[in-house]
Amino acid sequence: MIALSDITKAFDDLVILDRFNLKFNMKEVTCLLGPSGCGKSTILKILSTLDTEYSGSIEGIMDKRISFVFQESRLLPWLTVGENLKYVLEGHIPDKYLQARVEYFLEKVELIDFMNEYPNTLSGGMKQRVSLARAFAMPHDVLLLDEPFQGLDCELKEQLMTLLEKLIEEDRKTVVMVTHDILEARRLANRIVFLTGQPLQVAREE
Amino acid sequence: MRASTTNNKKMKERKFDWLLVLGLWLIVWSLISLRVSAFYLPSPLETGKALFALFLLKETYIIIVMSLFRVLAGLILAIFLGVTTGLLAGVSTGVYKFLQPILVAIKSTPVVSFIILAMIYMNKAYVPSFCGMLLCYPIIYYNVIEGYRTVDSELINMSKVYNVPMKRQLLRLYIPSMAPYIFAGILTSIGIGWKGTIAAEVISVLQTSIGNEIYSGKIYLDTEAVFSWTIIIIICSLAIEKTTKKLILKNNYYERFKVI
Repeated sequence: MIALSDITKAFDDLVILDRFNLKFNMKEVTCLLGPSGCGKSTILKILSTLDTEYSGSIEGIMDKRISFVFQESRLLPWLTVGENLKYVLEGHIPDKYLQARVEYFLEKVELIDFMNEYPNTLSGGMKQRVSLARAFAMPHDVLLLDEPFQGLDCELKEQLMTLLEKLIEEDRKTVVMVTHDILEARRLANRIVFLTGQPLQVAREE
Repeated sequence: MRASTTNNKKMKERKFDWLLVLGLWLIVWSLISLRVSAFYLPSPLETGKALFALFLLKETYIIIVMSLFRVLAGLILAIFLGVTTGLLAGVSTGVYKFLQPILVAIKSTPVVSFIILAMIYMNKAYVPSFCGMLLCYPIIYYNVIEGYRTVDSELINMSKVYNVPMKRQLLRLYIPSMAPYIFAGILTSIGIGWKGTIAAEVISVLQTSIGNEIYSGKIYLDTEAVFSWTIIIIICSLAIEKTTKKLILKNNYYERFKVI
């Protein structure tokens, strides 16, 4: 179990989290649902250790390997799709299996034909699929998703959600997803945590 | 097809304009030289003749190659130092603050002081390259720092989350991100480095150097030679700048950066 205990986080005078407590069950998909801009992403940043300027404690995450799907694809534009995956995988996967793993996950997201293409030749949805492939190809215990379907049209969003469902189903890991879309949360999550207020509080769970 | 024809036409017009302006200045030069003694200002024709005579000599090419080599040696050293210290200063504000007085001193000191000091401390064969390096180094250093500050913080965060080792981040994230800044620094510093190197060659009276030829021209009151070698310097400077620009464009880096 991963537990956030008494987390307090502020940006200047704006208190985002005030003695915030939340637990995440392992091998479960937890969705953090709340309005845009309320500070949900801050929780992911704290979990991923991208943000270390807070008080309180986190248990059960320090020894875990983390994969992260950001709102934007965050691909290196001067590396090809395949090279982008290798950029994070090298050192985590033995060299002799590296190429096969890259190809396997690009196959999964149906982008194997684009392995040698640069990101600027891909559409927004394709880039986000590369980002998903990167997250799943990386050996991980915890997968963090920060509104991964933001800004995508309905059809693309549906495609990506189906893909994400499939990937999560195949490789059951602890998933924490931030979203403001109740439909996304209902479809993907085992547990939904409704967040509200400033500072952020847990309103209810289902 | 139509776009390329328009571009070619524009390029031809630009070349024509350039030649026209050059022609006008040659006329101005000729007119002034008619009224002034050839000892002070040789005519364009006389200078052209002297230049042509120089181009017929094998030694001229050896001298040009040797001077070019010195410029390149200084430039390569400046790139190495500028990129490494610029990166360190970008990463650590402590290093930035520590190096700042040196950089301010280098930027504010007249090149002639460097040349004289370098002549005291080192073999004069190394003085031109050393001075060229000192002139190019601050430009590249500041460009590297500027480039470092513009590296996409979201890509840095992504690399941190995935525990990408610093060496890989440096080679595949930082340096490619900073490449346009580094290239711009190199392009800007080439001309300055070239001029500084030649100045050092003149003052240190170094054998087999353009600077020495200019100095000899002055000693033997051969103004035509001074003018001819100056024209050679301008031609070399333009050639180096154009070649570097072409090499950078050939690298296709900028194309990949478009629409991230």
